[in-house]
Amino acid sequence: MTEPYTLTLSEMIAGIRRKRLSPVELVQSLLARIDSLESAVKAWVTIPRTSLLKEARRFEQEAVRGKFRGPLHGIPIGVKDIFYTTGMRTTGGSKIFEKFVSEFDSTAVARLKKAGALILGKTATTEFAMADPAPTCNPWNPAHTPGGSSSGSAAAVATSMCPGALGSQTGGSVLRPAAYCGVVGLKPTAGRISRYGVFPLAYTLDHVGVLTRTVKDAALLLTALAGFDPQDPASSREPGADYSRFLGPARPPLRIGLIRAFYEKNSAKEVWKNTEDAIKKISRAGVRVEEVKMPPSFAAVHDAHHIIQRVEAAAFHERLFEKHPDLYRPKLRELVEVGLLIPGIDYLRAQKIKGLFRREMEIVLKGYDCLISPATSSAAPKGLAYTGNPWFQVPWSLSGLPTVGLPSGLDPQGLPLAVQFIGKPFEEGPLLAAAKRCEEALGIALYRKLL
Amino acid sequence: MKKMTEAQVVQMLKEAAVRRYGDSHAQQLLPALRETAKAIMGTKNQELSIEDEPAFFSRSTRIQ
Repeated sequence: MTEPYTLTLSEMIAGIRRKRLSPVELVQSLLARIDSLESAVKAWVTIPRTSLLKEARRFEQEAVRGKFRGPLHGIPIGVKDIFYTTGMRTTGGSKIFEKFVSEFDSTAVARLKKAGALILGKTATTEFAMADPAPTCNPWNPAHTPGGSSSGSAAAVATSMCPGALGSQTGGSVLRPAAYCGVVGLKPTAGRISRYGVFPLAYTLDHVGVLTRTVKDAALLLTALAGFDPQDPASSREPGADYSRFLGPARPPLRIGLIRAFYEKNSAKEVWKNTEDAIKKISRAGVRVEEVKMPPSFAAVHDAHHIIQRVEAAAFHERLFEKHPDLYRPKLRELVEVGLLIPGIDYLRAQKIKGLFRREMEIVLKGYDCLISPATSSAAPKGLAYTGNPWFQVPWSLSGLPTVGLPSGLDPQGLPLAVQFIGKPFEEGPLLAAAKRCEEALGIALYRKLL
Repeated sequence: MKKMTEAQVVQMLKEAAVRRYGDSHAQQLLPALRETAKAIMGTKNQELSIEDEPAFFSRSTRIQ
């Protein structure tokens, strides 16, 4: 019999709907999987075993009676430990909040619950989603970083300890750990998923995203999460959709722009070769891939992001930092200390560049279904003190454009590599459809190697 | 008015750090301040039109 933990999220949904899989069996299988791997991977902060099993029993009884709370009925999901959860700690990876329990759920968690999901537990994060690492190891090689800040979410999904997890991205915190751990990462358009009840890092750069093993699973989670939230000032009124509907068998012509200049120059040789190999396979599947030029403002996007991230992190942490300076780890501490010194005029100029780049990219994107580049400059670096370079994601976190990261192979050391797709604002459906076609063309499914 | 050089931006940030954190800690922050000065100069070199406004939360619509 297939062990339930090995199923993808969409297979779990089908199993529960057809009454071939019980939510209790599923939770027990995932808990056993966690028990066998957690001491080596260190992906989790909190797992509420007793209440989880109790809840799974209730969901099982409902399923037997044919009652399904929503499309994710009985599906256990991991939640990065910066999302507020009632009845469960939200530490933010910080000593300051090590005992903090919120009185309300973040909107993302509330929407998962409304769709019928079970919260399996809280996954490890870097301190306040910045760069001071979580204890998590890369499941492909424990001497390497899993990336961050959604470190535990990526490692847990890669090792099939959960079928999907919430993450967040301000620089590269969803797609980078997804790439390093060999799973799919989705960072939707800014405003698509509410950030309400999530510890902020930088107000105008923060995004909620998801990590899954397949593109289809990412579409299923986005369907549950997308939509306007009046409690988040950045939330968009663009209606969400059933994103799995975009993943049908139709094969319309697809035109993808390859961003070469910056990405080739900053990629390790094996990374660029892997991207070229992936493009060859994608092209053989009938997709047209051609080089695309970045607009002039691309030259300033990393600088603008540097300034905005520091100033906004300082704005959030100023009071906390004054009260608990010794409880801050060195990288976040330095970020806040520098952010407090940056003049307002420089911050506003950076925000102007943010807007200009978004407008210029919208013009570039008009000629393509989506763009492609390597997801990271290298495979996961050795050591656990550094979570890797976010530079390849920074332009898309700054512009708020949606991105999907897709595993594209292994490097000579056996570590995962990935490509990323960049889409048009609020067009996650077509973006996921393009990623799904490329996923099929590549035919890799790295996660199977860790089962 | 003359455009500030990168060295002047480093100096400006360093003086602010000395006032806020004291000499010794400002010295420790110097590599990070240099990086930030470089980023500030990078944004100053970007041409912006007078119509460009700060974006804050990105435009929340599809491409028209």
